[in-house]
Amino acid sequence: MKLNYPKEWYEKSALIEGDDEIGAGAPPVDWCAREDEGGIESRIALGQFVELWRRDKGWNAERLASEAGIDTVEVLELEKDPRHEPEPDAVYKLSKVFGVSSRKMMELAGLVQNRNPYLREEAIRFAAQASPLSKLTDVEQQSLEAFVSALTLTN
Amino acid sequence: MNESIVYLLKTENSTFVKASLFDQVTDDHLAMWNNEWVPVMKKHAGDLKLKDAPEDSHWNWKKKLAQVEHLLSYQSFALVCEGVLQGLMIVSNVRSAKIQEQFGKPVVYVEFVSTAPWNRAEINKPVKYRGVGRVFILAAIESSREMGYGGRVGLHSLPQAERFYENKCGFKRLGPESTHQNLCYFEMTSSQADLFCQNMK
Amino acid sequence: MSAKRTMTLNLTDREMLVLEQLAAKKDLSKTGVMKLALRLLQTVDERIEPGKKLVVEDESKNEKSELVFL
Repeated sequence: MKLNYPKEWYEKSALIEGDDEIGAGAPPVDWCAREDEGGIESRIALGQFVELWRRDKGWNAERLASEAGIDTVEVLELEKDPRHEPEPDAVYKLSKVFGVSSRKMMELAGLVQNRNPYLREEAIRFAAQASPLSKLTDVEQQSLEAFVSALTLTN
Repeated sequence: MNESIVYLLKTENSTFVKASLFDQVTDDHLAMWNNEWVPVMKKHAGDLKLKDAPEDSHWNWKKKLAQVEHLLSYQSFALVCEGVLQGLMIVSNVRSAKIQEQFGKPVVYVEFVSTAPWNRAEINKPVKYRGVGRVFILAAIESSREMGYGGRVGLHSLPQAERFYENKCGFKRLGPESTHQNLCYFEMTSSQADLFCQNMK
Repeated sequence: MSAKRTMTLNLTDREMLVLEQLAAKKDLSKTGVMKLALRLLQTVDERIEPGKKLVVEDESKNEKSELVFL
């Protein structure tokens, strides 16, 4: 595709455009994640879940990445940056390592439509109780176990 | 890959400067996106509540492109001016029109389009270059004509850009769609495309 | 512009009739229809993996039907 318009066209066009915003596009919900306020809470919970799960095992991010067969950077971004749009493949592989429902992990990551209304509440409760300390406290341990079972139960 | 010479208005000295529109996004363009756009967008979005951050501030162009670059049904565009990436667009060409008069006929659909953060009034006022949006719509129309689609173009506008597509490009507003996060769908007929190309709208 | 290659396509009367009908309906040349078909097939084929299905949804009737695809 090649444009063959004279300079004058662009001069007039830029004046018409002005300072307007021009962003367009939205992936269908099942294709790619888009964050809203609800989504970000789920993703914060997902990040904390990943971090607590591996710390409970005594693994560093590199070990978890290697067990799952994904990049270490993907693990770190998942844990630290709730704005990060995770790879569906990475979320799926992690769910296999954790032994939890891949569908629910995908929901938390905002990669598929939310089918479990209670999952978000569980996620917020979990995110509120967990804190990134070096060793898991008893409360964190209980919280992690409860969240693992919420992610494992099928409904 | 084709390179077209286009022009943008540089607001700093009110002059029109040459820019290059490429009909394929390359790794170099993605590196520019990552090194130049992302830090500015992250800083801006980080200063705001999430709901106030630009809708596309989290878009990962590298991943979007990786998903589609091997498919014949997608085409990507990059706009570079004075050595800096100014805009990115991905279009697809297997969707059908929704306006009654052209219903079912194929359209070029703008999957994603964004301008650099310094070209957005909400982040940087006055914006650095004007005209990026209409250059991309012109490219979408020409691409539609080249495919035999008669200039028909469709897109889902982000809320803050609806005015641009309706009033400044001549798209017809068809309303929000639940399949696309309730973003409003806009479509352009062949005759609207002709008017656009004459700068009548 | 990348180089283009030519091929001859032999169609039965019925296939040609469908091609002509689609060309009229889609407002495309016959070559345009064949190219669109190729793009569509590649796009759909890429998305259909084991365990996935292509569904046609009628929002007004709240009906979904599976589209059988190769």
